[in-house]
Amino acid sequence: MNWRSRLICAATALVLASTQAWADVLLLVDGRIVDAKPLVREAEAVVVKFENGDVRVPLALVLEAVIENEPLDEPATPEEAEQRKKGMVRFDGRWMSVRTRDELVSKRIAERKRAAEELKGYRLWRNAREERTKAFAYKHNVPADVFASYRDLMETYFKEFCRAWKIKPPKDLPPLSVNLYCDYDGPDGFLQVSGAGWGVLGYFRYVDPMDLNFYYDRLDPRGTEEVMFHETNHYLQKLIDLKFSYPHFPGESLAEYYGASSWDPQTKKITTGLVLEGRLVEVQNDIAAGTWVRLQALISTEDMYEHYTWGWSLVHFLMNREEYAAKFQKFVLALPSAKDVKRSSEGFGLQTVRQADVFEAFKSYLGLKDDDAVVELERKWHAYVRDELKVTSARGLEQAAMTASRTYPPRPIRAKRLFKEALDKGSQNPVAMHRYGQLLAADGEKESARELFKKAIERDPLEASFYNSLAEALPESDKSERERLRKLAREIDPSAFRDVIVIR
Amino acid sequence: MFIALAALVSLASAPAGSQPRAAALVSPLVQSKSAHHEDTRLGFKFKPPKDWTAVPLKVDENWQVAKYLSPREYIYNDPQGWTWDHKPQLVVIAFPAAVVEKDVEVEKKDEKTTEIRILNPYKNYEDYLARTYSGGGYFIAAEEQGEIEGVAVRKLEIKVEKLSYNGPKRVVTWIFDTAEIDFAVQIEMLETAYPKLKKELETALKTFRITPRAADASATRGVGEMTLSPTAWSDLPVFERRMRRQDQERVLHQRAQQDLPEGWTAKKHGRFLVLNRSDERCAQRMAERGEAVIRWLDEQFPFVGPEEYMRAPILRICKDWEEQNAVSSGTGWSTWWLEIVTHDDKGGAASWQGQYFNWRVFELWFQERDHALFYAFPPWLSQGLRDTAEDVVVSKGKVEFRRDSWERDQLRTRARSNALSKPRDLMRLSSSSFYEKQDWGMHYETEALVRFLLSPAAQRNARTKDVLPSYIANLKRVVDEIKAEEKPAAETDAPAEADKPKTEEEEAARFKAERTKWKDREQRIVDQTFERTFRDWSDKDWADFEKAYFAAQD
Repeated sequence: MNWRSRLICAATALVLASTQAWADVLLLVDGRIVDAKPLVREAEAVVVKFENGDVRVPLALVLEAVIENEPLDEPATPEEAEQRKKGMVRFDGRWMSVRTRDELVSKRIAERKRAAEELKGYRLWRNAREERTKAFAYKHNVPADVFASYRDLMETYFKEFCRAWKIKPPKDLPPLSVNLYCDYDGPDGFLQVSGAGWGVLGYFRYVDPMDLNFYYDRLDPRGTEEVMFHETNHYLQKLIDLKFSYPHFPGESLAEYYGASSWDPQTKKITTGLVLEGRLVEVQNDIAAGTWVRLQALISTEDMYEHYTWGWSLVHFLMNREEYAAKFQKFVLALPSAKDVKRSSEGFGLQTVRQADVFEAFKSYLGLKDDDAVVELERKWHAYVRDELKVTSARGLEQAAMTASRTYPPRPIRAKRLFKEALDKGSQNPVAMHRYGQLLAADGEKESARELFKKAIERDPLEASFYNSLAEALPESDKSERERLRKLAREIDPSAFRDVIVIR
Repeated sequence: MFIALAALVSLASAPAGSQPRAAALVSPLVQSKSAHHEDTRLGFKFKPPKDWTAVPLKVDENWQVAKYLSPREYIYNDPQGWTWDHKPQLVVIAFPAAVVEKDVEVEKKDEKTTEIRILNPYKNYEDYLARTYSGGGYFIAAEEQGEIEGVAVRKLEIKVEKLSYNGPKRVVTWIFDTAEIDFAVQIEMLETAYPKLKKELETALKTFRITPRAADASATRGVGEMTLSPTAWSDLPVFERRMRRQDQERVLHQRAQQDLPEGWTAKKHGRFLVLNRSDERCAQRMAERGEAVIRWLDEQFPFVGPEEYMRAPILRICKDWEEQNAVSSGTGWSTWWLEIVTHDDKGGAASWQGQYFNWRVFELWFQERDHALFYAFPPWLSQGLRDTAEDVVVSKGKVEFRRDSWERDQLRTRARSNALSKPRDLMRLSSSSFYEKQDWGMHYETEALVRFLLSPAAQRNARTKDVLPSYIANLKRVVDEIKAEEKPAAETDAPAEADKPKTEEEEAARFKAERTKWKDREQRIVDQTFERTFRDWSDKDWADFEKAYFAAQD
């Protein structure tokens, strides 16, 4: 038994199995690699010739396509036709013999193949690339362009946070080790190499050796940014006092507040404190289920999940109210060192504050003199959540729709409305289109579902599950096409269907 | 057609069939008696490193086929100043082609029901590692192809660096690639130990040879149903379930004994099958204590599953903590449902291992007799019984419940700060409301309450004498009634079309109701059981009870 015959490229997220020895390689800008399949170049796409059908990949998604023995294009002009008769072709802006051109092409293909192999190799963590700046020591196995954008973002974020919170990192502080992985649960991805448990999206290890780990989600780059902002914020909090570990509240809530930052890669400017719509959706879900989290319970309870959701909304409220913003910042900065805050040992030589004592400090620094003042602040915060925080962007609507469709019990009617609103707002997210299509298909609206699946495929033609869903949405009578699409889905990504069976 | 998706887990939970399967490959061991480990059934042999000892495999292990542990501990000092130790471990894992290529088993049970079991076996060593390794984040640091006597060998060096349990490690694995079975020989050690061990381990790996296999190598071993969970066969009549459990117990006990490596003894102590690598007196003491606890449970709660057959537990007493860990690792579930794996930590009943053993006996008894009742225990009872059981001592065959000094101090501290709960308040808390309080000191109170109810003082009082059995009996009745109520709904498929919400408002209302349904159910069980148990208690009864209970905590 040869494992390689079934699992060609352990280093790729997209595994293409074949026993045929094609040397063509397609590299996508998001880091995926297709190899061992013949490729054909077209004007606006590269076509992957799968055994179960052609898949057109738009050039916008393509980083590099290495095609062996690529045939000559048809002459485009009469001059070209004339020269062709003399055995001459135009290449790189000059006329040359076909033989010279072929030699040049062969040389370039060899170079490209070497580069492609190198890129494939970088997917292996053992070959991960490293780069060091004053603040961070990066290690990653993502495409170079993808890495560069996160590096620039992190460097700017670091400076901006230190400025806003008046932090001066110690001069002898070594750069923080930052690990960025090519995907979540694949070979040499985040779960495998970082050792995080299922469901964890990123982490910052706050004891020596400190390091930060997150992954690149090609289907949700904005989500990747949120995780990066959140986890990096834990490090930045740490820089307030290296011997202090921020308690769950405000630590996680503040990290979430900074999770909602936006980045303009052109101007290299960062905007913080936006609405974190994914968390807002969770808060709204709790409210729909009849739960309003109380202020005292939120701040005085240890390790509460709601510190990520309701805690974020509280920080957002406080930072956006002139009468509280400065007091809240003072409260955060007081926790590690102020004399009037009771601290206790966290272990590992670190100090922290227990949540009950955090609540006392919160009341003191926010000027809440009695229970009535606490209740009044809570009332204002709840009103802010109810009346002022809204999900408005296409992405926020998609997230709300996803949550509604996956919560228990699912809320498909709400999910469908939100998906439609997201599409009306210009959502181009193929995952959202796919999920919306699945909900419609479940309701028998197969034709509309098919349209959505086809649109999703146009945007990401190498996502296997889209073909599978399209197959399921076709009429029973269209047996051969259903079967072809199912097979194509498994050919594109066999690993995606390991646990799925089809009942015929 | 009704499709029952019966199993979403590995082969371990799927019934044996006539198809070739990994369960068939747990081999009779020929370990340590000579310098070589030889498996004639699967067809391999190798020479383990000198003085490494063979470790028994779980009775329902499907993939690991040999395991050895180094006699020597290696040390890792972490940057926080903690010291960790670790013994290197060698495991052979077999990947039969007939199994790894299999995805599903489909069995037509009757005209209406087809059972589809999704087997989801490991496709290869990398897949196995990704789905089973829990020692930390890892990556393949080096990979090399080789050949030993005509067999292709893939040599992997794996580094375990991030979030590694007890220190960074190195895993060296050689995969011997044959037409029918791939064998992965995996050795895990601390990174710091690797330079010292490298040469010796390579020598051992180089001794691995593929040998002729026995003719019946791919045949099943006839172990019958391998689902060890006490919930198995719950839809069968009691008599039939009893027969199945007895058959399974016989087969598993037989297998456990025949697979025992050198240095281990097997002996029946009462109902315990004791597999022992410690001294005989330790085995005897533990088994006697286990027997006494079971007798006590039989006497106290005769109404709990009286017709159920309790499978005789396998008690494995290992040499030390490392060996206990090694035995417990692997892919089977037996150490969860049927075995008690421990080691002699020389501390008697009050030691960590002694306490663990005590609780496991309680747990197995309740699981085997009535798992639905056991899982419905409210927190004061589940937590309290667990902590109380851990402190059991047996004196002259009689069970006694003692209070440990840590618990006493914690209760006193709570008493001083007026944080002690009234027993009736504690008994009214469902799991959700108990854990929402996030008051971990309440765990000590649950123990205090259960132990008080079992104490001589409570046993002498006519009012409190039977509170515990009476409460559990009422709990059982309430659980049965609620299950009977829920049965018609559970038997229908998805909600009927007419019941589905038509508008977003209706959907929101359904969502809200469903989200609180489970909590409401829990609270209903607690309230009704409490009401039935204490309905004729007056305020004075409660006052007397509380007085005696709080006095006992001093």
